[in-house]
Amino acid sequence: MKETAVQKKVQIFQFDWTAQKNRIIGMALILSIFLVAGISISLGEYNIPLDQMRSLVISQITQQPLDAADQKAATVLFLIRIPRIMLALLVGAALSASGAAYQGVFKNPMVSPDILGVAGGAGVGAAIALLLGFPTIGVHILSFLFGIGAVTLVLLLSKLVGKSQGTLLIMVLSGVVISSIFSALTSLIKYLADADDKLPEITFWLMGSFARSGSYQNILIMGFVLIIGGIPLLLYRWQMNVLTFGDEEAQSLGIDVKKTRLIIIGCASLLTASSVCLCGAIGWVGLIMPHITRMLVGPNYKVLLPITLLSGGLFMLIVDNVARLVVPGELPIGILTALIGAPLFIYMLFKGRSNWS
Amino acid sequence: MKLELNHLQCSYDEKIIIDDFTATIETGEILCLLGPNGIGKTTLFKTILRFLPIKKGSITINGQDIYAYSKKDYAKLIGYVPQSHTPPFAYTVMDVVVMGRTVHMDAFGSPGKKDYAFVAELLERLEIEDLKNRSYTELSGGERQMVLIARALAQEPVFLMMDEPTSNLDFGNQVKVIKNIKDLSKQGLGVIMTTHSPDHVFQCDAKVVLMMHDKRYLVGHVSEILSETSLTDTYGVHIAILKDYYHEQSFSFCQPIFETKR
Repeated sequence: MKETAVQKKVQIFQFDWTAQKNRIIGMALILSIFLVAGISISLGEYNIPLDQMRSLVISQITQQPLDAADQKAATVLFLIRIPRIMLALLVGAALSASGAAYQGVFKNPMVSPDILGVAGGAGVGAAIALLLGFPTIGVHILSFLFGIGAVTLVLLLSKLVGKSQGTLLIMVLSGVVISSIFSALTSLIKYLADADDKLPEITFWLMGSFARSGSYQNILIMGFVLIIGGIPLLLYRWQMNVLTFGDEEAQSLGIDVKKTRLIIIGCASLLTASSVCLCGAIGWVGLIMPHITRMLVGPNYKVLLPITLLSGGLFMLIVDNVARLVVPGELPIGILTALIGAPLFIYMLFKGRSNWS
Repeated sequence: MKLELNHLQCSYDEKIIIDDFTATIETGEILCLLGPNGIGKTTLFKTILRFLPIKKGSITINGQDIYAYSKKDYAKLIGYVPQSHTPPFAYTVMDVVVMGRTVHMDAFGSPGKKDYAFVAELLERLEIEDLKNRSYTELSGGERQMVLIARALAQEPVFLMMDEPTSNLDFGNQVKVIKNIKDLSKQGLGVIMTTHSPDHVFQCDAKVVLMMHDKRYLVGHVSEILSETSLTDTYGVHIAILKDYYHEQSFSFCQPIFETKR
């Protein structure tokens, strides 16, 4: 069949349009992040109007002394609100990217850091470290090791039960089992913890919140983790596509399956573990954000992974705003993500059921 | 180029499935693996693809042991067309076929304009360019088989391994796939395929390995190997081979004989 020049042009236009569409979605997300972050800065129990914010920023740069009222506003703005917003963005991006990576590497759209037990495992690791009074770096390392341990257990269990042909369901069920073991361990740690000192610390932190974690030190930690965990994921994002076709096919297509899978699982677990260390268990983000993003831009990780970093960050920022603005005081954000995430997931189960066996 | 299997022993789960297996295939040839269920076609196949280790003997390409090639170099030599299945995500056909280009990308590479152009041209050559923007998960069995063939060809391999390429296809699609395989071998590709249909081996006019019980293997051209005796022995049912002419061309085909009481 010979194509006319016009048909060829139409095809080229269509092909460019998908690429263009993805670019527009990316730009829109970046703009939205700046917009929402800007609005979030001025909103809160302590309102900071725009003109006051401007004068505060100017005086901060020029190092001018402030009067008492401005001093308080400056503290809220620079030491509480801005760090919290930045951390919410970073953690949202980390959780969402790690969820997308797990889904790819396990060729299973129903897994996430929570379902694979990584979040639970990382939580136990961090709680043990807190109980033993480890320094920050120790908390992160132990949490990472427990997170990796959890996902390894889930993999082993689903391999043993599923006999090499691990189905979607067996992996999810294995995750449920391992998660429940880790949640029992968490309870045990709480039981053992000193009721005056350690117990409240562990309990509040486990509920998941940005309220106490927004500091510049934590932003540095999370930013650093996002770089060392996120960059390899971005570099291997094309390989993730190939891995979704299964080990044998990926190998026949020239991928070093074991090495690639190990790197991806390691990076994704690091992202999850550090998020859990800083903000506690914030569930569902790693499951639903990759799905929503996939609906927007398709399953190709070349586009999906960078976009899911942005959408995950934006989602977390919005939910954190709701957590701190809707109720006087503060709502643990983990409660909100579950209340939003679960119904969304049910909706997606219905929508996507034709594709999942 | 020549792929040689020398006195190969393969095992699966510690059980020896294939023993003392010797065969060769050159580029431009078709080699069909024919035999009953459970005889070890898949095990042999997976051993050649390096999914399963070699127990004894050797497999060489161009005289060099296959394990001497890096994973990437090996993927440039051998393309794999699996039986069609459903991947977890709804990639477009373009995305799926471009994955075949992965071997020609850098370690952290992703496909560029050249790869998309290469694939667009390949899809045109296989006459499936209209599938390009469709979702792979929504295709019919025959269409998926063609897309998987395209993906393997995008690797630009020297040999193509096809695992029952005609299974789950309707009659028309089976014929189309066989025609494609013949065309590919004429263009210089070496094709190794497993099949359950002796007729397909006749249609390919190919080299065949008839895998029989007790680890006996008959290797040679289809006209020498497939006979009433050998097929009846292999499958345990009475199979006759008939020959007929159509427009001065001769055709052989199998016919099971059902013993009827008089």
